[in-house]
Amino acid sequence: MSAPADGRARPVWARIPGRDVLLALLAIIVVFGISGVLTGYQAYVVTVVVIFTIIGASHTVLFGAAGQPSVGHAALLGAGVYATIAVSRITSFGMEGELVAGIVVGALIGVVIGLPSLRIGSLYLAIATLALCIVAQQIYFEWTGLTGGGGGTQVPPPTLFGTAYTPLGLLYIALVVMGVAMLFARNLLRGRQGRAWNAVRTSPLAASSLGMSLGWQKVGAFGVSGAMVGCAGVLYAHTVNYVSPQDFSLELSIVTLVIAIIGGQRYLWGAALGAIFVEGLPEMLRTTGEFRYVIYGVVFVVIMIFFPGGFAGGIVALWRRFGPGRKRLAPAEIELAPTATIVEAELAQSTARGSRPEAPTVSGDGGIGLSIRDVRVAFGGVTAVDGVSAEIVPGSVVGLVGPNGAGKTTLLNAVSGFVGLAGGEIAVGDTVLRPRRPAQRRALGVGRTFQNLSLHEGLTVMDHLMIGQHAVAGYGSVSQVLRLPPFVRGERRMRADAIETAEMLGLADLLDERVENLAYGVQKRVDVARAVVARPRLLLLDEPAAGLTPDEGDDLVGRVLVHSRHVGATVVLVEHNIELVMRVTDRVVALNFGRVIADDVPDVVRRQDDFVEAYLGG
Amino acid sequence: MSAFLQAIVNGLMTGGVYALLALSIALIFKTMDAVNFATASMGAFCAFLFFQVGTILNLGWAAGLAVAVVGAVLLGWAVERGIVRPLGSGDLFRLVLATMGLDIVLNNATQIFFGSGVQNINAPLPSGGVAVAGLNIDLTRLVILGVAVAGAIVLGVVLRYTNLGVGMRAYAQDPQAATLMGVPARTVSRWTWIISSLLGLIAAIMVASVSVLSVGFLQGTFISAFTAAVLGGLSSLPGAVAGGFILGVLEALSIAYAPRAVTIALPVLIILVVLLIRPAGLFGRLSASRA
Repeated sequence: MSAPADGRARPVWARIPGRDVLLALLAIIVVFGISGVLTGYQAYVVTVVVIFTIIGASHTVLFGAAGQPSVGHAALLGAGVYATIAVSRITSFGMEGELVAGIVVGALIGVVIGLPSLRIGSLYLAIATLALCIVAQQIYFEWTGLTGGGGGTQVPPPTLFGTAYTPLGLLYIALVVMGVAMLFARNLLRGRQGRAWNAVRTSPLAASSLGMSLGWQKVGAFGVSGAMVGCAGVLYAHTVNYVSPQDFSLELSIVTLVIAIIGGQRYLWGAALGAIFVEGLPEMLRTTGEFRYVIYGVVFVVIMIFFPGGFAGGIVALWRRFGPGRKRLAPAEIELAPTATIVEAELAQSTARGSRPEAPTVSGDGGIGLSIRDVRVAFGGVTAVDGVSAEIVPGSVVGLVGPNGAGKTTLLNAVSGFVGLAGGEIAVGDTVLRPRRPAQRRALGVGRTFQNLSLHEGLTVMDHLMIGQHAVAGYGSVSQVLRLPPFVRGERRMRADAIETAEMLGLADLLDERVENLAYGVQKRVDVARAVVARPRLLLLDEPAAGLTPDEGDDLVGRVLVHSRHVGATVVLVEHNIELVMRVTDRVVALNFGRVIADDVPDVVRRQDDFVEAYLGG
Repeated sequence: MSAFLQAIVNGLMTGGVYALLALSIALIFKTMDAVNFATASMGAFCAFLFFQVGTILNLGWAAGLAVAVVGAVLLGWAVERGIVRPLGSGDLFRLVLATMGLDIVLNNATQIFFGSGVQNINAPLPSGGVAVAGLNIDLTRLVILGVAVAGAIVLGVVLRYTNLGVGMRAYAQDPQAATLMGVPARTVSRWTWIISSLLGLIAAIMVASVSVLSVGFLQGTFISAFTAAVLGGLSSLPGAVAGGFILGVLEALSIAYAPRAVTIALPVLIILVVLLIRPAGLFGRLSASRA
């Protein structure tokens, strides 16, 4: 997914730009060539495979990336089919108009199906798609004027810009449509949008703190998925010639999902393998219907149990293992790289002085302030934070300490918008935060880390660093799909920032490693790196040293504070290691039982009686 | 007025079957956090065993029932052992998706074993109707209602008073804590699937007794039962029963008073309204992992 930043050798073919696009083009040309000798029936079978490849790929976007299974895709396919029939009856356009209509109708219905995700979680949304699939089929049955009801209706033969097409011609059109759809989907998946979907799937909490609205991300994925199925519906209508509402059943929805999963839902090309297996092979082998379904049902279950990655996931795993060029590091080889010298020098200085590092230059304007005014947070009858006020001035480093259960993390979660307020208000700079809107925080320049990491499993360190810059990518989805200059510039800049941050935190050699393979201490750095890479103006650190050795903890916190000085960020540090907090902060706010018991410079707090009592038991 | 009461009575009698199948769905959801999409095909397969062995082999109903019960137990056991356990916990959707695959397999296996024809069933249940206070009560459906209520009560007793039942409830609340307290997770999981399978068998026999026996004959009931379970909160067993009866009555009322389209769309409308207004249903609690 990401280019190697460490200069490890990769084979020549891997360095060809856009090699997967070339490979796909090659595959399509081969099919084109073979198509010349196909009989009408064989052309029909290949077209069906192409159609189901597009539908399977739509699940790659929605389920593989955004993590939302849908059993409503038959309804979307029906929408594309009936949009085709409507266009061909009402207008004089051929497939050129039908494709536009199919894509628009599919995208709109997809968005409508996705809208409940603003309110409900993914399991309930999956249930809603089931309900919608059934209701849509009923609508198709009842709307006899368009659909012919139970008797079905004939689809007019395909024309494109006034020219009529044979089944073979239709296959060519289908291949082109598939190529374009897959290219767009690939472009969407590679870049800001695809990273956001993957982030939302793998760690909703972290994703929302990085400025992603969980609900709208899914709505968008539904829209894209719907557009793909809609254009597949146009091809489907002309391929089968005769459609009836019976076709758009729950079973068909499930079959499309089965195709995506058997093929490997994380890879677009997996959908082609799935479609060949489910729709192509049985036709070619001429097996009888019942056994065919039993066989692919069994294969599906076996794949779910033993190869959750599907065919494509298996091929990729084999390639990683045995293919050329990709040498995996043995765990013993994974070690932190030497870091940027400026940080190193300052750390050495500060260690020598036994005080916190002073940055020689401040390039930012010192960060943004945080005002906590009489904040209360209650869970049922338990008041976890009870009237806390604190004024954190821009550019300061403030420690937030207190025994377990004092309300530190709850307060941090209130600032992040993960929990609602029972009273009071929180402002960042001059802006009063809206409770329960975590995505709003990032836009104001707030970044945070997580005590329990919340990393994105399956993604690389580089991916995390790019995901961290979601809110500052500087390009939109249109630029991304069409690979316009803003996209190219944005990616280049983000990549450079990512590498810089990785060097600062000693992750430069590990950019291509997937995070679940890393040691805990390194994962902790990745979590911090994701939060700081976009240069937040206010950085909330939730126990960055927890679980690390004292040296590791000192090192990590030291590096982050130096970085924050450089970019100009206010830092709130929640930490149990009191010695560390006292050494590196300007001010310490101590909580106990949800109330502030001390708020002063470290040396004063250290001597305050009730603070000592809360910590050391008197 | 009597038409209204008649609709309510009819609704309650249909609702019994919904409640039974909804229990089968809710029991799995409560302990496994997953919707079993193969509920209908599992029950239908076992119902085929019952009717085919009973009538075709001429062994009598008792033998047919014995074969079907053994079949349901074995099927529940096999699904747990062969699919649920190897899948393990973790990803919320893998089990749900795997049950979709199982549904495909079982539906087509049923067709291969028993043929795709439609058979009318002569169930060993009393037929005819009696009039009570001006209401016509169908005896077959009354017996079915009785069986459904009895099934729900037996399940309630098992869950409340047996070691296994208490373990199942503890496991459903917090698998990790229950396992640490000595609740055998595998036993709980195995019996959850076996009991769910048995509930499905009873519901399937009841439905076949008043309709026909054919591949996929239980799918419509499954949608209704699923709606009932969603209405009751998916993870709540009393909710599933209540949801079953409420849906049965609503359906009967809509048949009596509303246009046909409303009756057809009723389950789906209920699912959508519940999900949008109160995803936890009437009796359920929203858990963090599902929200």
